[in-house]
Amino acid sequence: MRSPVGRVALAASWAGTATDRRRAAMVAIAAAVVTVIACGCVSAWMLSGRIDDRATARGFREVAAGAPAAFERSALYDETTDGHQIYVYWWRMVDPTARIPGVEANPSVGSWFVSPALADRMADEPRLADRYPGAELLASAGVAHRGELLAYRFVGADVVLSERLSEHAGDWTGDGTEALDLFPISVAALTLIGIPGVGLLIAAMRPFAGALERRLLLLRALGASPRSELAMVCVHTAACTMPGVVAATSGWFLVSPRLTNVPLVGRSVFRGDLGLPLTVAVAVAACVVALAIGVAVLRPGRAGANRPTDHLPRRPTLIRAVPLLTGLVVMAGGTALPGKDGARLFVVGVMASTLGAVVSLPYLIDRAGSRLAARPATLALLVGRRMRWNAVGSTRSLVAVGALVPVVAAWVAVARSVDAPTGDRTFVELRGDVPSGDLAALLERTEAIPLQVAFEVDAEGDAPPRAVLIGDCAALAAHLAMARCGSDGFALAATDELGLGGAGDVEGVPALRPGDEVQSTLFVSDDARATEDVLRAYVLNTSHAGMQVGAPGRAVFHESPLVRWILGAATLAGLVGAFALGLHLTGQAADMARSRIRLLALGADLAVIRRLAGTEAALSVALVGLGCAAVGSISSWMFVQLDGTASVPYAVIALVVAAIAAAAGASGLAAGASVSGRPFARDRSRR
Amino acid sequence: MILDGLDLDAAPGEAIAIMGPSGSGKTSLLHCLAGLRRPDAGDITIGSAEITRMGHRQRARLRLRSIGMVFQFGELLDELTVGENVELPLRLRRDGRGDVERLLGAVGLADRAGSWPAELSGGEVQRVAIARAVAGDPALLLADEPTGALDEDLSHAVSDLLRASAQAVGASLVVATHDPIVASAMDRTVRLRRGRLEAA
Repeated sequence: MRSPVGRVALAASWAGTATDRRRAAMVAIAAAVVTVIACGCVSAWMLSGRIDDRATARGFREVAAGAPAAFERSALYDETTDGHQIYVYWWRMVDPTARIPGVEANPSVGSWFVSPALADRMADEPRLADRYPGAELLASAGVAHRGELLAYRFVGADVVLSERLSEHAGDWTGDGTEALDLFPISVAALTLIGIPGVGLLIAAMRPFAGALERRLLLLRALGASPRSELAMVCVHTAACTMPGVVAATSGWFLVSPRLTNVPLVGRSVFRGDLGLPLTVAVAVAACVVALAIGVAVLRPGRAGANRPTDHLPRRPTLIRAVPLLTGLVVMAGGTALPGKDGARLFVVGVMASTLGAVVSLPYLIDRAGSRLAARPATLALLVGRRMRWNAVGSTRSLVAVGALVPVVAAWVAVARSVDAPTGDRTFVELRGDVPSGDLAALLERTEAIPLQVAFEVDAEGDAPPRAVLIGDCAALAAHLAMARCGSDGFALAATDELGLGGAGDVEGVPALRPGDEVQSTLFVSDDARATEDVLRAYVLNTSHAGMQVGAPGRAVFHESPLVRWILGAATLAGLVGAFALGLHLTGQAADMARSRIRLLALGADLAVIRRLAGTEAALSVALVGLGCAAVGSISSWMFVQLDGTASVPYAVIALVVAAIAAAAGASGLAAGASVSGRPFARDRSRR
Repeated sequence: MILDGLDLDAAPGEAIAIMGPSGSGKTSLLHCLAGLRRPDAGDITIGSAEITRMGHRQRARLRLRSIGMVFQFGELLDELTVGENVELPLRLRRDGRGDVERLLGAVGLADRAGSWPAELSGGEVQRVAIARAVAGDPALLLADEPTGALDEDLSHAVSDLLRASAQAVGASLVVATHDPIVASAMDRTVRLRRGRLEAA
């Protein structure tokens, strides 16, 4: 580089002392971590786009009666053992030249095609495999995402299908694709990953700032223009971050196309779905370098001290609490608004209060330091004054830790709200009229006691359903607690207990009456799970349309797919936060080194200095963590107001507080241990 | 080896200047005298206390009770006010807060007790450092290049103040300096060359 400013900048980054090089290496590592995170986020966005593209490519449109159709289709319901829905479609090819993405040309009647995720499950669960006999694999072009549970069966002319479709209309949805809602993902990425990422860069660049500032002052003394100073900061920051950014981008560019799982999220993806085009990878790398330069340029005090009093402590004022209060008000507004708008406003409020919490942290530290310094003990004076001295700077590198807490606390409430218990199952319901021959075969295979529920077809609609017991009432009562046997030996059961809706009892009758239409058949047995498997296999492979299997006794809730993304992001934020905390403590130890020299000379014992360093670190982490946990608890409480099914996660809050206490304790011990007992040496940091 | 075969006695109230070129070992000698570094061999005795036989904690206690130090840049704690800096050794000794106003008055800074170190000039910082060093009535006052960053007038003022402060508390004063102005204000001067003392 010919420019003298550039040469000084490069010399200040990698060609300085061993300490300078070590600090530059930490900046490069932090930049590499942020780059990997940024690349991962962009890959997730591209994954979402690829899922949408494949879903669109297999889109079909229903055609009007009489118009030519390419296919006929019916949707069926099936589910896995743990209650996840399997999207099942029966198809009939009307136009032999038409193609369904992922399926070979001219599929034979009776053949099954299943998605890779379903095939994986079938390999683990033989009884699930029985439902899709001889299934072939759907090609990835026909599957929106790697985790999709999808099955196609091609049927003959004897099966009645409900939909007539044209080929590739492109706007049909509802085929089982779990499209990712990018809004909450974006918010979560910004708060859970973006803020800690910036915090990590700040923490990594903080120890480096002093040396850079001294060189800037030197340049200024030599008459360098403000533009040259700016160029110095930019070149210096770019030189420090580039090695990490280039290595991380190259690594992600090479590795991501080979990934079959979203790291930390655990979601399966098709090979290549997370790949980044070269231009996008380069753009991400440039953005990270620009972000680092922005952090360096906007760092308060970067321009150096123009007056001695520039180094005086900047007193944080109560005005710093305004963004936090605004965020809480927005959150409260979100709970008051109904529907999706309210939920979105709430999420915006969470993000605003997270940022607000971060902004108000220096005020909290300053107040606590002030209280502490007023105590008579010398240690309290020293700790309190050190906390107040640089309340803004000392909390800046803890942003990564602090930003994590409220969002995690809020989202944990989301995870809890969908984690409902599974109910007991005592019988399985087969909806629809089962042909008598098929019923006999099913009873033989399941060894169940059937209870057919029928309605009188010409009834006015308010007549109670009848329950027709085939078999012995005492045997039924042994399996089904709700069944009560009357004096004439027939079953009686409350309709609501049978999951049939309405009030009153099911009338027990010995046999179907003329005009009765069977609504469903309840199969009561010891092993409801096995019975359900047999019935599901029957329904999926029969030629009688319109039958469905249900388990009225079971209510299974599943967490939103977003929860896995959010928890994955929270894990990542936790790792980044731990890294940032480590860097923060390293910076604090460097600050402490100068005080160590002064205090030792005054006659302070090494143990006192270690206690001072430990107390300061522990208090800072505890105050920042607990301050954010308090905001997180308020977020959770407000979420409970938004969603009546959730409860305040006291256990989670207690866990978070315990984790903060542990982190504060560990920070205190680490900071205390970092105070060196090595022999006194001349302080060269002023040079 | 930085220092070798040194033999130096300072009587109570005596002021000694140690002169020598950069790297001659002046600072190392002061650090040894203060118990901040321990020599490989030899004895250092302050009053009846043999510092070279003491552990970390005992040496710290001795510094707290009997030694005051002044550095080239003052080395005040930025986060404490001027008054709090001066009273810090007393607080560490748990001797209360002392008469900070009197101590600061003695160095001409009675009205700056509430100021921050960053608000002071270089000369004022050194005067506060001297007030802090004598706050605990030390038996030994050590000063390492106390005028190294000051101009000629301030050098005169600071060296006179050092001498007067030491005399006021009856302390022996050992000043490491390469400044002839400071040396001329002391009772005697010794030269340190290649780790060995020579009479001036």
